Amino acid sequence: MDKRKSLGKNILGKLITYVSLIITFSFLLFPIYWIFTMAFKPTDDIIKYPPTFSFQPTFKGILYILGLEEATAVGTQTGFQSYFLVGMKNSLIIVISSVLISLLVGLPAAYILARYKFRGKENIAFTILSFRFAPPLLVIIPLYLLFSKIGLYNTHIALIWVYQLISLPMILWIVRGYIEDIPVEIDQAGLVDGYSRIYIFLRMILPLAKGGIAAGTLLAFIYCWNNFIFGMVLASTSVQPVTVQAMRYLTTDTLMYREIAAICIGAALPLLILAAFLQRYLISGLSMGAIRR
Amino acid sequence: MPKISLKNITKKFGKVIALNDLKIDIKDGEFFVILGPSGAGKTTFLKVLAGLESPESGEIYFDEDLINNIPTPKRDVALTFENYSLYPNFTVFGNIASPLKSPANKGKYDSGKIRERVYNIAKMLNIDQLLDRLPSELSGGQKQRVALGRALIKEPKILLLDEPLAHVDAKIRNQLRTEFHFLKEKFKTTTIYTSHDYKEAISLGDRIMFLDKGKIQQIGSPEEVYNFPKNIVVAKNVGWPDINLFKCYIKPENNNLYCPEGDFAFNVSGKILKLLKKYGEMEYIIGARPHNISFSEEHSDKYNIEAVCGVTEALDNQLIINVKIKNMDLILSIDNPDLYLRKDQKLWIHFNDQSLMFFDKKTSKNVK
Repeated sequence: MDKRKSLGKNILGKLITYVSLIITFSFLLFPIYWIFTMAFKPTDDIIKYPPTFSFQPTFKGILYILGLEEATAVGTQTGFQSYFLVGMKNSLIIVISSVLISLLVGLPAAYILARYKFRGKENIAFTILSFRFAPPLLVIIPLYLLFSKIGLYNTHIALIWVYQLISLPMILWIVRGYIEDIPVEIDQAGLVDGYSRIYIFLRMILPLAKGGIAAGTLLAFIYCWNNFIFGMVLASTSVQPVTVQAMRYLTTDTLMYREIAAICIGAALPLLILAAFLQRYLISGLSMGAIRR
Repeated sequence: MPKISLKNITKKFGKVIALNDLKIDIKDGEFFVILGPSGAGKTTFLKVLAGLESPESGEIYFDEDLINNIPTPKRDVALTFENYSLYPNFTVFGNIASPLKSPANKGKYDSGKIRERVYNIAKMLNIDQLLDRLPSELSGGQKQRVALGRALIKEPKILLLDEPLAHVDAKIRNQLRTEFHFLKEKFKTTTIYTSHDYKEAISLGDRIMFLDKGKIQQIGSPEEVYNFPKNIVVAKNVGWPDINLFKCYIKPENNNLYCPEGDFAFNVSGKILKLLKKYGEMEYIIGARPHNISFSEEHSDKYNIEAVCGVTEALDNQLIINVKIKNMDLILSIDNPDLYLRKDQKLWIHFNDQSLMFFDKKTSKNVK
C-alpha cells in the first residue's frame, strides 16, 4: 500500500520535474529558435503582426550574407560582397591569436601564482583581474589616440593586443584555481624523482589541469568573440570582427532583419563547435585517484 | 651510503616554528625512525632533508658535503609522501619508472633496462600484475607499494619514508611492516622513517627520535625510549595501554611515598628514596606502565593497596583492567586474557618500585 503510494508520488514528482524542465528550456531556447527561423523568413513574415509560425522558407538571406546574391535592398551598396565572411575571417584571426597568446603567457603565470611565494604576488594577480573591472569605454579613447600615433590603428595586432584584457585574466584565474587544487606533493614528487620545474609543469601539472584549461579557454574565447566595442573603435571594415560587421546591415533606410539573423546564426557556429569539442574535458575534470583524500 | 648531520636546523612557517634548533647525527646505513604526534614537524623534517623546504638557519651535511644549497633533483634522495602522491595520469609502470627516465639519470638507462628494473622492483613489492593500471584503480596498500617502488628503484643514497603505514588498513599494515624488515636488510640504505605509532618505531628503528612541537624530546634505541623516556610527553606517547601518571609526595618520616589522588602510601627502596632526595623536590609525578603494576585478589603484606575493579577488556593477548583507588583511575594489564574478574571486585595492588618512573613536576623531565 505504502509502496504504491510512494510510486504514485514518484511519478507525479517526475512529471512535475519534466514539465518544469520543458517550460524552462522553451523559455530559454525560444529566442534562439526565433532568430533561426527569422534567417529563413521572407521579409514580410518577419515584420508581420501578430507573428506567424508558418512561412515559406527562403535562402536569400544566407546567400546574401555569403556574397552569393547581389544586393538589391535600398540603401545598400550594390554588387557581390560579403561583410560576413570578412568579419568571420577577422574574428577568427583575432580571437584565436588572442586566446593562444593568453594561454602561452597565462598558463605559466597561473602555475607560478599557484605554487610560488613572492612579495606582491596577490597584488599582481589582482591587477591582472582588475583588467576585467574597467569599463572598456573608459580606455577606448586613449587607446584609439595611442594606436593612431604608433600606427597600430586598423591592424589585427592592435585588436589581438587589446583582447588580452579580456582573455588573459579569465585564463589566468581559472587555471590558477585548478592548479591550486592539485596537491603540491605532486610537484615535490617530481622534484625528488629528478625532474625540472618546467618538465613538471608541462608533463604533470598541465595534464591534470586540463579541465580548467578547457573552461578558461572556452570562456576567454566566448568573451573575445562577442566583443564589439574594441573592434568598432580601433579598426575599420577590413579588420573589424564579425560582431561589428553585422552592423553594416543596419542602414539608414532599411533594417535587414533576415540578414542580421543569418549572421547571428553563422557567428555562433564557431562557439558551438568549440564548446562541443571542449565538452569532454570540461566534464572529465580531474581524476585524482592517486591522492589520498 | 652517507651519514647525515644536521646542525642547528630551524624552520619556521610564518610565526609557527616547525623545527626548533635540531642537532642530529644519523649514521651510515641506519634505519632512523622519527616518532611524534601529528604536527610535530616530522614531514617538515623530511622535506628539509629532501630540499623541498629550506631551513631558516642551520646546516645539513651528507657525509662531509654541505647540501643546504643543492636543489632537490641533485640530492639523490627518495621520498615517499604520506598521501602517496602518485602521478594520476601515469600508469603504475610510468610512476615507478619515472625516476629512471628523469634528466638526473639521463642516458644511464635504456628502455630495456628500465623495463627490467621496474619489473624486478614490482615483483619484489608484489605489484607486478598491476603495472598497466592507473593509480585511481589501486587500493591504499597497493598505492603505498607503488610509491615505495618509485622510491626504491633509483637506489637512492638516502630513503625518506613519510608515515608509510599510517593510512593502510590493519592487516596490510602488519604485512608491510614485516616487508620493511626485509627491505631494510636487502638495501641497507640510510633510511629515515616517520611514524606516529610507537609499535612501528620500536619494531623497525635502529634508533628512534621523539619529536614534539619541532623539538627533539629524546634520541635513543627503542629500549631506551621505552624504558627510560626522558620526559612525560615521550612516556605518554610510547607504550600501550597509556602509562599511568599520578602525583606523589615524599614522606620522610616513614620513608614512603604518599599519593594524594588515591589517598594511599607505599614503601620504596632506599636507593630510589635516596635518588629522589638527592634531586631535591618533595613532589613528583609517577609514571607506571600498566604491565608493571602487579595485583592480587587476596590481601597480603605485599599487595596492600585496595582497589576496585572496573571494566576489563581482552585485547591483543592481554587483559586490560581499569581499576579505581578511591577516586584515582589506574590501568593495569596482564598477559592473560582469560582471567575472569568481576566488576566491583576488590583487587590488591603492588607497585614494583624498580620499574616506576619519576618525573619532575615542573619541567616534566625524568628524574633518573
